[in-house]
Amino acid sequence: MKQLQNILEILIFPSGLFLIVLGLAYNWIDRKLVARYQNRIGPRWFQPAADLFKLLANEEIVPDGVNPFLFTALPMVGLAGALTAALYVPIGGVAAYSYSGDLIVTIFLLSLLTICLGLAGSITIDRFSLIGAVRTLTQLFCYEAPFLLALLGPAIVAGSWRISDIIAYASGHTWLFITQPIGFVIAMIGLMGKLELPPFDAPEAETEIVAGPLTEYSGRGLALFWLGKAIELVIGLTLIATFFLGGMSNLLVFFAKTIGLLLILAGLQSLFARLRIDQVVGLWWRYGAILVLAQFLVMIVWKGVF
Amino acid sequence: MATTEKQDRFIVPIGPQHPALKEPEHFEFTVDGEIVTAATARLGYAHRGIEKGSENRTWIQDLYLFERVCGICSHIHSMTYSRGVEKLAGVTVPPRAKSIRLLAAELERIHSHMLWFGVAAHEAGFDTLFMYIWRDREVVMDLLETLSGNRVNYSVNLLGGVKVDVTPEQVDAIRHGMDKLEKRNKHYLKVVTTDKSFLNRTRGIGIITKEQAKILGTVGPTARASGVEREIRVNAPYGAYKDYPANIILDPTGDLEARFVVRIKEVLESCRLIRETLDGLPEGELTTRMPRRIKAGETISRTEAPRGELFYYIKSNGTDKPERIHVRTPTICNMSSVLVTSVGHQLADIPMILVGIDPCFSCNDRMVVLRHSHGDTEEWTWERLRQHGIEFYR
Amino acid sequence: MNPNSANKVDKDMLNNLKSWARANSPWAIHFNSGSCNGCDIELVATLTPRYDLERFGVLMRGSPRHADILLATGPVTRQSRDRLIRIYEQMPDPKFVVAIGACALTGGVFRGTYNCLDGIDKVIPVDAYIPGCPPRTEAIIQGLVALLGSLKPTPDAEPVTEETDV
Repeated sequence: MKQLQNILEILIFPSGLFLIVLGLAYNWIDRKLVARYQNRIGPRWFQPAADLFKLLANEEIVPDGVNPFLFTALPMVGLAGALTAALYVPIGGVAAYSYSGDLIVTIFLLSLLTICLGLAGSITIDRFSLIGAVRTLTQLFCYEAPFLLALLGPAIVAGSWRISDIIAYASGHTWLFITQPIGFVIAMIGLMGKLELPPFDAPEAETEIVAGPLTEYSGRGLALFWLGKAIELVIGLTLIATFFLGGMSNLLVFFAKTIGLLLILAGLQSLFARLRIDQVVGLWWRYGAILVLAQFLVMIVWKGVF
Repeated sequence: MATTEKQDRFIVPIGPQHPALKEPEHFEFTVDGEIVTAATARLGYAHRGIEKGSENRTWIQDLYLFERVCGICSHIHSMTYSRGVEKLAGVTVPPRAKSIRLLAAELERIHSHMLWFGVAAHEAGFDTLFMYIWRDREVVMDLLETLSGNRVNYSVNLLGGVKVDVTPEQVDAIRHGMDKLEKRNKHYLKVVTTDKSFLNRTRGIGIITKEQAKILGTVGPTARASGVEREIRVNAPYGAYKDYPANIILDPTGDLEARFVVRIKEVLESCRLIRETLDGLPEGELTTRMPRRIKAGETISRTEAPRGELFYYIKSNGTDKPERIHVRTPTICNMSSVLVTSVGHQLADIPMILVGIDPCFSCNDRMVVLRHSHGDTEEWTWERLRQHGIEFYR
Repeated sequence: MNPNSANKVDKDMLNNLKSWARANSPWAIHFNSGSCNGCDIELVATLTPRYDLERFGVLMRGSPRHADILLATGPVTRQSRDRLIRIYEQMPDPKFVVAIGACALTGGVFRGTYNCLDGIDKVIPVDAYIPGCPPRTEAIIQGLVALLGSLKPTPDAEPVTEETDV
């Protein structure tokens, strides 16, 4: 019975199917909000589902000059990374698995998708993919450390690296968004960098390098990468909403908070011109990393003093 | 990448199908990391043989052919052509027709500049700005539609006059539209000069100095953004511009930001010109009689298209068909400036620099490159192409 | 119910789902084969707030590998012919071609000039034609929606794009 429950938890709720549906829903909300910010009507509610099914049904072309095994395997590994990461995150209230240190595992599993994306771009001989891959990996090295540090902030004050402990701490105290505003901002922007949303979309800048690493992908590979990103959006928003906005008290309130974050995310997406990759590096290492480190130091000193 | 001698040269091809270009043109940028070290262009994808084709049609048919040299600046093409033909035939266009031509030309300039502005914002990855500008551009599209009944190829011109009249209701509508456009464009002027993230992509990028601009022969807003005083409306006023003089808009900086500023200020200037024209719209006929056969002779006709100087050479042999028409469009003049300035810039800036001159490739293609299956490239120069054309029509 | 018919029902459902998804998620790529830009700017205008093609799920993609619909304009010049074929071949199946504008249909005003091939359908198969010089934005949208409508699963007709079992 326990095993059956485990399987159900992985396949249906809280991860698996539920996660995919939630990913599609968030993707739609994001697209709709951006469209509304741009004065447009935007897509219909079932749009992401239609996109997903269509891509899955399309022919998958494996271009000449790539290793076909890697070409088909990388999207799967990336998606698997994102899905596995979701097992430790209490998306529907409870996490499927939980142990001390799962925060670090989750964050690194999230990076797996980006690394797969970079590899997928670099195994093809297409020039746009190659440049896109280089940019993807460059950007990964930019936001990864500040993003990690920003999420470690709540872990430090909670005194645990277990996600559920941190959430329990966050729901019992003042919103960490007020005590760690820099961490919150860095985490939000880091999430945008991770998902390659504008203005951090240099790796897939349409007007420069077509679609970056994904240029040669069609059909299933594209669908899986795209789904992986949608799931990363869910995980990232859940982590930020629970850590910084007062934990997981009530499912309804939690989803309201997440959608509030999505509102900010869509607003940020439509406010800026795209940053060049050198500007991205400059932004993260000149401001992001320093700011989050400063906050980190203050926190450690604070914790030591009191 | 494929061959060994190319190992250290990493070439990024842009076009003929590329999201940055709405038209088929091929550029090759050699990059070192993200820095561009060399640039070449391969034109000719949009070569349709218009000049040769025009020799096979009557003067009136050619009016519609030349209107479709470029869909964005269609009015100015047909206007330049008809001005040349009228000059050859010795016909004077009635003053009201002249004013209406100016009206359409300035409305077209507004539409063309706003279109360019939106596309350039899109190249910079600023899609929201693109959407906003194109939303406001619909105002001028509506005005053009009210005036001519068409959104893109208006066919306002006839040989010897214009086809459309302006009613008092349309005058009101245009005035109202100008108010709206002026307000919005003043706002956009503020955006391009103050928005930090946008300035990151425009300020100090793609600088063409005044000397360079002169040597490379740039025209239009590209030249004026570098401080070169080239503006046909001012240097050699034609048509109704003699009565309603335009002001030249200059910016000495020469970077992308200056090109934005110059174009937006030109939109504001066009609004002013349109208002003045509407205030003093003369009464009278719209057309004069035009002979079917044009007297033998040759002439040139120059106008200021939205992208710069447009030049027509027209030669008649006294029949109802032209003997030779040559078109020189602004983009071909500005093209070399892109290839020169892009060297040393980041790859990410290339689309912006490319679009910075407001390229209109459908105007400029004069040469065809055919690639045979065995990989040789055969270039058809103008002479070869002309020979082919002559044989084709024989 | 015998296993065969159950299998058939499953297959029908899958086919229906596929054609539903295809009709509702048309990702498009735009290629200009020597047009005067008139059609192209009207095509771009359909993406902008007043017309907004994303309402119908149309997304403009840069890479032919991502696209289902090729929106082709222009009379096909000799030089762009090879590119047009190449882009068509790079697109994954099932793919559709929409010819936009008088030039793309017949060569339009350029018909008979020495460097034009007079129409997209001389080079690649075309599924929908949108006439006009240039077609109005509303016409482009209607043409696309008509094409999508023909993809939708209908109760009595076989799905358009699927191969059927004999």
